Amino acid sequence: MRRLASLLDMEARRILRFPVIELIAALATFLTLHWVAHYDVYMQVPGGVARGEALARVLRRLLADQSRRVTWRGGFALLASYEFAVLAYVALASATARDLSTGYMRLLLSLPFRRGEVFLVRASLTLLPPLLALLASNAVASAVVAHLCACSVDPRYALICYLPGVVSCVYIFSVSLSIALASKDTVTSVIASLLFLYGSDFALRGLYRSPLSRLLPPACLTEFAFAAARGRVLWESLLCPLAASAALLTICYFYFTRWLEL
Amino acid sequence: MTYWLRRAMLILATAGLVGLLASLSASGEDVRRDSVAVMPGMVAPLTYYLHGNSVRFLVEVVPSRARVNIVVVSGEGLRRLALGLSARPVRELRRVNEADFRVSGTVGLHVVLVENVSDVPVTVHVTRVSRGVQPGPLYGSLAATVTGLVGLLALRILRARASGSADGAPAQGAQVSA
Repeated sequence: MRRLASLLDMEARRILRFPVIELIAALATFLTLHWVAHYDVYMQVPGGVARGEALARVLRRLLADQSRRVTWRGGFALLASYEFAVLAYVALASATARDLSTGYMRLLLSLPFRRGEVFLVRASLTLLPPLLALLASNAVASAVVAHLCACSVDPRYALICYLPGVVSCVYIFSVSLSIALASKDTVTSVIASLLFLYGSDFALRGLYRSPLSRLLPPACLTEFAFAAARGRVLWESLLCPLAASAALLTICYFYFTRWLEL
Repeated sequence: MTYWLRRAMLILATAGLVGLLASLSASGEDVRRDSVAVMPGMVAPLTYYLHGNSVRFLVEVVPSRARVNIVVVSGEGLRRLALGLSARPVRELRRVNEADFRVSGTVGLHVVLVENVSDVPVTVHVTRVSRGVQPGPLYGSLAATVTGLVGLLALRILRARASGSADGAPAQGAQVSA
């Protein structure tokens, strides 16, 4: 355990060196404050309602919806940070490609660490910082906007709201790590990852609401989020990117631990 | 451990500084326009989320011979109204066909209740213009910046003291002579 902790500390100091986490935190804060500053609530009753019980009922519905709206908005803000997440994950994954090309990985693997341990440490150091930065800043923003009324929301609904954002981060991470391991070169890894991730996002915008956009990431996650706002859960839209990420990460793990030649 | 503590303080200070800049840059004018039809004797609620900065409401009633009552209720009042109780409004205007008023310093969900007190259906156009720095994000960012910078300073002082006491201590086996 101490051996793994020393590996984690050593790699964290290398991969997350100044100013990597500071930049990630700064961008996450900026994005979050943007949604806090422009948060508003839209509700209209055309024609109006009668004074008394009818009005009280409308206001009760508004108050009950408020915490759900804030939670959904928080989850959607996480999903809407796609461009930022792509930049952060591509930059962090390119560190692995750089270490493979410069020979640092050969040095690291000559130390008494198993390949599986090195893969897990590097993968978690790539996946967690942007995800935690986004989740933490969103949680603070939701608390600021809703004055903690978001705590009263059904935890299952909160989970459904935040799941697409988390799955989006896992998907971006798995794609950028796969490309980094396949290319073994920093520049190729960065360009190929950016082209694939931004390109697929741009291409799928044209297919909004088509059956294909329900299955292909990242558009399917947006479909999932909008369906969740209407009270529906499109599980296939969540499971497709999750299955793709799991398959890519499994391939990466076996490639790194068994077939990678340095 | 000290290394990661220093980084945490640096992250806090950076995030706070970015927050300060973002709050100041978001202090420009933000305009929202709504229109709602209200039948005679009915009340139309319009919802807004206020951020504590200065907000100006411009209300116009069409046709202009018609009259409406306008009541602005904040979060606490809203909860009371939802329970069927009476609430103290933030602003109240009686029998008007246009209005121009400001609400400032209050944060959270607000409802503008427009009651049609004339005998003809009306269309009410409400324009909300918010301007100025939002105090919540500003103070939060300021607190994060100050905490981060103070933490960094404290760690630096502790480090200097620790290295100072290490320099001042005589080495083992060293002889002190006059």
